[in-house]
Parts: sequence; structure tokens; C-alpha cells
Amino acid sequence: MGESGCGKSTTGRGILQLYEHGVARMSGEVRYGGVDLVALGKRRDAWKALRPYRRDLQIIFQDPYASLNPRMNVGTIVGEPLKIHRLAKGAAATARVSELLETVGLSPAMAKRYPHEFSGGQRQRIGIARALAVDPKFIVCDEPISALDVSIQAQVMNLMMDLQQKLGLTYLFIAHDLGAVKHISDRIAVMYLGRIVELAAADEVYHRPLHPYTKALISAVPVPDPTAQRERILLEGDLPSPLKVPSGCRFHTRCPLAEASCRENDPVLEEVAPGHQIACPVVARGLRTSAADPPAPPPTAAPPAE
Amino acid sequence: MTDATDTAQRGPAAGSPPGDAPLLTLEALRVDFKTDDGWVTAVDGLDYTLKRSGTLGIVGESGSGKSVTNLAVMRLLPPRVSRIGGRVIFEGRDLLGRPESAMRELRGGKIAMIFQDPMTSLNPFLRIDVQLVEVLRTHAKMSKSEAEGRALAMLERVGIPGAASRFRSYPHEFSGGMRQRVMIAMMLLNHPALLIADEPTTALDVTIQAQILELLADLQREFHMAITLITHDLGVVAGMADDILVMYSGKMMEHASAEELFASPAHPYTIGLLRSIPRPDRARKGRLYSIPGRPPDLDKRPPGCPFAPRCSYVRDVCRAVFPDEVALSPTHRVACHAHEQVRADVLAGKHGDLIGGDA
Repeated sequence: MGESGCGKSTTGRGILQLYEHGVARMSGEVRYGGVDLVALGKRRDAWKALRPYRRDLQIIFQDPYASLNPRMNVGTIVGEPLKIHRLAKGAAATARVSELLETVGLSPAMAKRYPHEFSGGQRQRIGIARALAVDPKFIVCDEPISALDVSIQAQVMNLMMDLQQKLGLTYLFIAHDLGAVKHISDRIAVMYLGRIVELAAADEVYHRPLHPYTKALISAVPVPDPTAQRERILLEGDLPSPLKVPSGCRFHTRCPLAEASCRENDPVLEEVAPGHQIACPVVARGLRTSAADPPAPPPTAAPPAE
Repeated sequence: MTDATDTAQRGPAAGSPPGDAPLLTLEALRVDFKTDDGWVTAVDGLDYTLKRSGTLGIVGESGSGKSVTNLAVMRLLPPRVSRIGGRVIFEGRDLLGRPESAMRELRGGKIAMIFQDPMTSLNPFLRIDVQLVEVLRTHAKMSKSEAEGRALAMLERVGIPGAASRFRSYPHEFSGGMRQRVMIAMMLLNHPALLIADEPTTALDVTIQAQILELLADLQREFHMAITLITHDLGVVAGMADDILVMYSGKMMEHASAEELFASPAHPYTIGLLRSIPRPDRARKGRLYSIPGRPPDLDKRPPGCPFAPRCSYVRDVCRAVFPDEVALSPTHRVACHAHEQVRADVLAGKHGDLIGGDA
């Protein structure tokens, strides 16, 4: 999770090698089943090299209006991946499309209709059916509920959780809505200006945020309770432009804890409690010195191997 | 600069003092739109009042009529394809009968409006100093330099860093949050008695949203203005509004003080909304409560209560007759045939913790 411009969607699409080389530059590795997808994506025949992986790795988009071709009927939209991956054709494909529509809670009779005939929530279900067509193992869910009305959001979240259980799916759930992210996720990575600043179990991130940015983010989320008395940490100013990334720690320009060294040293993620990583040397140092205090667990001796 | 800021702060005190008479009263407001298939009703029989310096939150999903209601108050709906019925009484006069020239005087004057996307209200081709000065000089005789002084003071007041050096910038040179601040500054220049804020923070990131909401609350105290806050986010209204009006398919479902609405909701739709929000402060990972189905299209609204097809409390009468409004307290009214049953269930704890409950 993170705010606009933090790079959360870019990360999701980068994992899937959805950026054209020449327009985007990628380095590092994305290992999937022992294979580096970034290296495959750099090959001249990337489209061919990646194709077997495209079956396993799918994506659902935020805007169900923009991600469905308005000129195709729903049957064609959901059936297209079957055609591309040569998984089924003719009557078998039609049967599979019907099955997929039922899986996401739509009637198979809807296959003949066009996207504009559906509501936002139904369109999102169509997008999910299309992603499921190729029996993926991993789905990047890029803000899948942000464009939906409140009463529909819960329906789509429930569908996604049901499918995860039934089909054994792994999700990378990208959103800016803390309530939704926390509800569906096992672990949460908080991003700021292209970097992960905190990574921990979902409950841990919410109840024991350690990075100053995560703390401010959580305190800013409006709580649906008029009697709630909360201490809001208001961050000063705006997110800096990604074209002019601040030196050192990218958050130092807005950070209440910033020290002189933060302007120079670019922090790396370090594990400060079991399974809890942050990229903030100031907080990490504080935790080490107060390690004797019960609430602060001791930092682990060695950081995990690269 | 201090001088100009003082003027900005003194301004409203000279205006009408906060009194007990409501600032705005809607009586049986009805809005119809012309479509290819005939007229459809977008808002149907809406009543509410807004006190001076009070905040009313209007909550509803897309198509509920919350934005249309306020465009009708401002008389900003295209006359050829829309019809407005009922009364909109602002400071004692029905706006629906006023001439367009009087409305033009009010808009940006005593009644101001900010939208979700500030770019819909700011002219991308004009520098902001030009736009702000125009707003001032349209409504009051003053020299350009006086207007510039006031405009700049207001930009500083709404927290634009380095306002003086950014005064002659174009809207696109500001970030989303800063643009919303420019918009707010522009709308406050004439010290409105009523600010209509239509999803003012929906397009903003949470940390920026928190800044803008804080700013609006501060400015409201300072300028003694009433706010109508239109939003789909129950979290936002919980922190801002005195009263909350829940709309569904053009109708009022429930209207209560914020405390009453969250603690003892009496409409199944309100309960559904409250229960379907995932609450981060709860350690749960089960299914979320969700309202089945979806809101009806405006031209296919069922007879009776529009929520009936999705309602777990539905009775035969609900499908035939829209319920009369019932007052549960001086600040709480509901339109539901089953409200007694709903209240009893809430008291008995059948809806759990209400907010973000289990399925």
C-alpha cells in the first residue's frame, strides 16, 4: 500500500513484465519458480519466452470501464485468454466461459452481452473471470475495488477471498485503502516514493507501525466512528516529485524524526523484530537502545541473507 | 501582508451573526431529468435544514442523488433537460423562484461550492491570481491591487507554501492537494455562509485528505460558515459532520446526528453500509458483511421503497408503498416500515459491532 506515485502499481506491472523495454528500464530480479522474469523480459523474443509464465501470472485492473474492450461481448472477453494460450476452442471454450462466469457470480447467459450493459461491480467480476480463465497461480490485483461503491466493494472483496481459498491463489493486492488491504492481506509492504519503507504482518503494520511514514499514514485514515478520539500525525507538505527524488532517505523532507544523516544516507530495509522490516535507521537505533523495555522486542542478530 | 490577513479574518464578523433560524431549508425537493425514454426522477421529496455554522454530511452511493441535490440548490442544472420542484429556502428566500442574476450573485458569494476535481472549476488557461481576483471583483467593487492583496492573503491562509512566489502560476503547476487548497481559497474569498463540498477529498491521498479536512474544519470555525459535505466515505463524515443524511436512489433513508447514526442506526441500508466497511483496527479476516444486489437504475426504480429488493427486513408493504418518515428523536428520522424491528435488533446486538461486522 502507499499513496499515488509511490510505485505500487508500477511494481505490480513490473513483476509481470508489462512494460516495454525501451520505454521502461528494469534491473534487479523477479524470480518466479527459479526463473528470472526480468532476464526473460529483456530477451528479443520476450513475448515468446514469457508466454508460459503469462498463464501463471495474471492481473486485475482498477478501472473495470477501461480494461474491457467495449466492442467485444463478455464471452469473447473471457474466452480470449483460452484462445491465446490454446487451452480450449469451440464448444469446450464456450463451456469453460460459462463455468468461469458462474465462478464469479454471473449468469452464463450474460456471455452475449457487452460491457456497457453491466454495472461497475459486475464489470469487475468479468475482469476477474478473464484473469481466472488460464488457471493462474498468482494474480496482481491493482486497486480492484477503488472504483466501486461501498456496498459493492464488500461483495467483490468476498468473491476474491472465496476464490483464493477455492483455487489456492496467491495475491499481490495493491490499494491505498488501509481497511481493504489489511482485511485481505497476510503481510503488508508500505511504499513511499518507489521504496518499501516497512514490511510486516498485516496486524503488526496496523497495531505496531514503526516507520514514521507508516505511522502518519495510519493516523490519517478516517475512522467511521464519530466518538473516536485520535491523535493525527499530519505530514507537512506534498509528496516530492519522482523526477526530483530527495537525497538520502526519500522521506526526510516530511519526516518528524529526520536527522542530519537522513539527508545523506539512503536507508535499507532491516529486520527490527521477527518478520518486521523497516527502512529507518533512526527508529531501528531507538529500538536497539531500548531493547530492555518489554514493548520493544530485541532486534534480530543477523539480517536475512540476500 | 498582516493587514490583508486581518481583513480576511475580520470579514465574516461584519456579516450576519449566527442565529437560530436555519440557513438553508429544503422542502420536498424533487429533481427530474429528461432522457430519451422520458423523464426520470433523480431526487424525490427531500427535506432537510442546515443551521448556520453547522455541518451536514450527505452520504450515498453513485446515483443516490446527493450531488444532484446540491446542484439543484445552486440552480446549476441545465434547465432544458431538468425540472426542479419543491422549495430551497436560503436565508429566508426560495432560490427556485429567484432570477438568474440573483443566483449569479449568490454563487461564489454567499454560497460556494468545491468539487472532487479542482480542475473542473479552475480554468487551466488562466493564472490563479487572475482567477482569484476575478472572483473578488465580480462580487464587490474593489481595486485590482486590493483584490490581489486579499487573494494572496487567502492563499497564505489555506496553507500554500510560498504563496507570494506562486501567485502568478497556472493551475497545472500545483499538485492535487495544493490545487484543492487554491480552490478552497477561491471559494472563501467572499466569505460564504454556505460551502457545498462535493467529495472534496475523494481524489486525494489519505495524508493529503487529512490535511484538507483539518483545513476545512479550521476555516469553518474561523469564518462561521455552514458546510454541506457530500461523500461516500463514512469515515470522512464521522469526523466532520454534526448531522448525516443517508440517501439511496433519490430518497432520504435516514437522517440523524452523527452520534445517533453510528450508535443506533434504524435503517437497514445504513446498517448495511456501516457493516460492510472493513475496519483496520479489528483483527479479522473472515468474509465481510455485504448488501446483496445493486442500486436500481433510475428508470427502473421499483414501486414502494427502492431499497426493498436488497433489504433483509423486506415486508410486503415495502414493495408497494414508500414509508412515511418517522421521528425517533428531535435529531433522528428514518423512512423504513421495519424501523422498530431494526432498532430492536440493533439494541439486542444482532448486528454485532455494527461497523465492520462479520458476515
